[in-house]
Amino acid sequence: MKKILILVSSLLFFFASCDKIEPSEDGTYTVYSGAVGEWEDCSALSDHTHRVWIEKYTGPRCTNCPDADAVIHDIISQSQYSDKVVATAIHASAVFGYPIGESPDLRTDEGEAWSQFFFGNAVSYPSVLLNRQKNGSTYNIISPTAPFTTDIDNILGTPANVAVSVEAHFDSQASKISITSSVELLNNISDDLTLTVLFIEDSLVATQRMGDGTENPNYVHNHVLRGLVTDKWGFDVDCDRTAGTARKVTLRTDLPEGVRQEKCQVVAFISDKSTRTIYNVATCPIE
Amino acid sequence: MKFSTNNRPVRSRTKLSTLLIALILIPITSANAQGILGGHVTGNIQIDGQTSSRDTLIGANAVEEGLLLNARADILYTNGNFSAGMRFEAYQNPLPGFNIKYKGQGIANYFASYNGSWLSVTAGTFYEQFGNGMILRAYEDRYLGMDNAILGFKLAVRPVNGLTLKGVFGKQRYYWEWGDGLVRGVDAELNFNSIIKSFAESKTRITIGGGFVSKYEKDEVILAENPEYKLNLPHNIGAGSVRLDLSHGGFNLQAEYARKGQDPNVINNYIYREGQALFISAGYSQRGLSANIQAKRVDNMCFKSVRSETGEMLYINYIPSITKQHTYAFLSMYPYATQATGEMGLQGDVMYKIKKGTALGGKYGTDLHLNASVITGIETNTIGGRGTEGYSSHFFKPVGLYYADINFEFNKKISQKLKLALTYGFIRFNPIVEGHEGNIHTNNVVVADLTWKVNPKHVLRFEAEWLASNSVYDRTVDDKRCGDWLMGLIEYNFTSKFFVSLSDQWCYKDGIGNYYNISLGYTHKATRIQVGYGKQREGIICIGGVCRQVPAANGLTFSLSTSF
Repeated sequence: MKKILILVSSLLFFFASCDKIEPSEDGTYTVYSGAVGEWEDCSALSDHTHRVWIEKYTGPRCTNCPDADAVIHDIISQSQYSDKVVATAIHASAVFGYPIGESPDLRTDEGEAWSQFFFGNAVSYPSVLLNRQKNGSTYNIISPTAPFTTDIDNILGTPANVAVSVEAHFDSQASKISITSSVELLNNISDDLTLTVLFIEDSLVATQRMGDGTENPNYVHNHVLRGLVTDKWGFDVDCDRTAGTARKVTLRTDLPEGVRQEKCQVVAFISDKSTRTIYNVATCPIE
Repeated sequence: MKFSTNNRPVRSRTKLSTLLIALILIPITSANAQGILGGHVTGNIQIDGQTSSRDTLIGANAVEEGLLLNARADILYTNGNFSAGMRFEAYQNPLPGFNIKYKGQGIANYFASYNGSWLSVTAGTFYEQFGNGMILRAYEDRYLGMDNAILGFKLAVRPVNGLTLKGVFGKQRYYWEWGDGLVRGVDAELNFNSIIKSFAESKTRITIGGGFVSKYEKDEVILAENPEYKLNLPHNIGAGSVRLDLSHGGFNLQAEYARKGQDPNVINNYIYREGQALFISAGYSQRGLSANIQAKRVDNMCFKSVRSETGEMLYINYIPSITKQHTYAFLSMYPYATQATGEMGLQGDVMYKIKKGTALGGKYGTDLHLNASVITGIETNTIGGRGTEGYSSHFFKPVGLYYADINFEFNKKISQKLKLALTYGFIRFNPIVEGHEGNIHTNNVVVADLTWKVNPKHVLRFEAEWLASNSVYDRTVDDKRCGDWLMGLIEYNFTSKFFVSLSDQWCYKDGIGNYYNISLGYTHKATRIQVGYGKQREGIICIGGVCRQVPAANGLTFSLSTSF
């Protein structure tokens, strides 16, 4: 009997392991992926600065996260880094990211997917990735409760292979946010590129569990990921892989619900399609 | 595990090479490999090489490396219920027609296994098949250059006599890597004659079975036709089947029905239609007569562990072929490749032996063999493209001929020294099954095969073939099989160890090519060495409906195989 139960349980497990996708209203089995646009040639970029995207995974129930916020704020405040780093706080995880009380849920589907991809189920927040760089075959995950400027310097100390810029404004005629991102290859590259564009928002007030275990209902969360314009893994940059190639694309999209335009910034980064390592990043406000 | 020629340090290569050579040589040098640690070591080695020079007429390219080599050594150690084995493979560089991703050398296959009376466990790489393979068949074929071995665990339990339960999980081989997709499967098979004591001696034998296979693959971005949308991909995809094997006296019936869940993949253009396949085989045999009829219908049953894989690797399942696998050159010139995306067909096969001592049977009897098969496409009413249901289809409605074959064999031993085989084949072949547009090729083939046993140690064989086709060579399509052909072959076996053969295939009308070959061979015990020189026509070889392209070549070939 025991053997039969094991067998039946195993069979049920396998049958349960079969996904059934329901069609959407138009009969297709698709989901919105993100804005895409037509790439076109453009002139070379004037700014070839190599920048670092500080991708911080955090949550209101993460008691060490306020310390990490302080460390990152300190880095951003330093003049040698202020225009060379772009920070984004990604709220994720059912354990750390679940909102406290009536506070807004700052998690996003894309943030959850990234967290799952980079950390799997063994999340340990706060964690930071810098340009999604790898250490060998695994992503170089940094604990940001202590200064990590050495890691940033290591990246900034190398010239950029790709330059990127981004501009955004509200198109009142179309009632859309219009985002133009330009890319220039400064060296030959070996793999395809993708462009990822996202919104971050400052000055969000939500309860945060602090290092001493207390809860701060007036904690101000800055540069919080609020939504993706493109797919979470970006969309292909239609370009040659040779140095000197310069291309640009314009995307039109809506601001995510509840996001304040005046507190919002657009972040755009260029990644290696295979390794997901980020070549360069840029940010801008919405004019 | 691959040892990359370019990247590994010389020191480690030396150590690994020494270890491998030792593993190979120990059995050879130790009294036929018996008695190591109380167990037995057996194995086999095969080396195939080829050179080719440029020949613009037949489309052969020169081999830049001068010589291409495929080599493999299988070594198996058994000691009671325990066994362990490995296979070392080397492709330096791969023979023409084999995927260049095979380039390299290393241990491609390794396992340890325990086979008890009620439990068997294998850890490492293994092969397995559930039923006819329509939901799971992990196998390898060295001549096709395919190997769908699974790296993981395999478990088989026989809790009672007549009941076998199997479970497998792992990842599939992808040349020198392992595919990202996870494969999990369970199968149960119940033999009533073993389970039910009163049924044990019955002339009616019944076995039923069923299996379920699931693959897991992580999400990825695959854009829909509207690029702002992407496919909502299933990550766990299941396929199940039920089967029956029944026999009574000379009659037998085998049936299997398989169904697969939504599996958008590059082969089916990422549609969400569920797949299904039905295979039925019924036969009768008695002394001097056997007859068999088979039918199948396949609809969207391509099942791979990586959805974006287009090549010959990472197939989880296998669709049985119901066309005859010919051996004569012109009959096998247009082999049929099973269409897992959709096909239906029938095959009938009758063998009859005319008794000796009768007017037609003569002194030694006569063997007659009639075989016919027809394969068509299935109806597909298009609903949409990528990211939709794809199409609808009426189960019993065939559409468009893919392949038809009627062939008749007459085998007659004329005297103690002479044996004659005559074959006629009528084959219609739609090039769409090879992915080309074009008219259906209609071929009539006649083969005469005469074997003359001069004395017990000297045998001569003569073979003549004629192929008449409606196809005409067209430079834009460049199908070098087109046209009418003649072939002659003489083969001489002497001292039971040596053979030499000469052959020529000549396209005398509506085509191009004259392919001559000479082969020399030597066989000693379990070792066979063969050297050939000549031209090889480009074409397709198929084994069990699974095919590989063979490019043209003009040069030397050699092979060595041995077992111990």
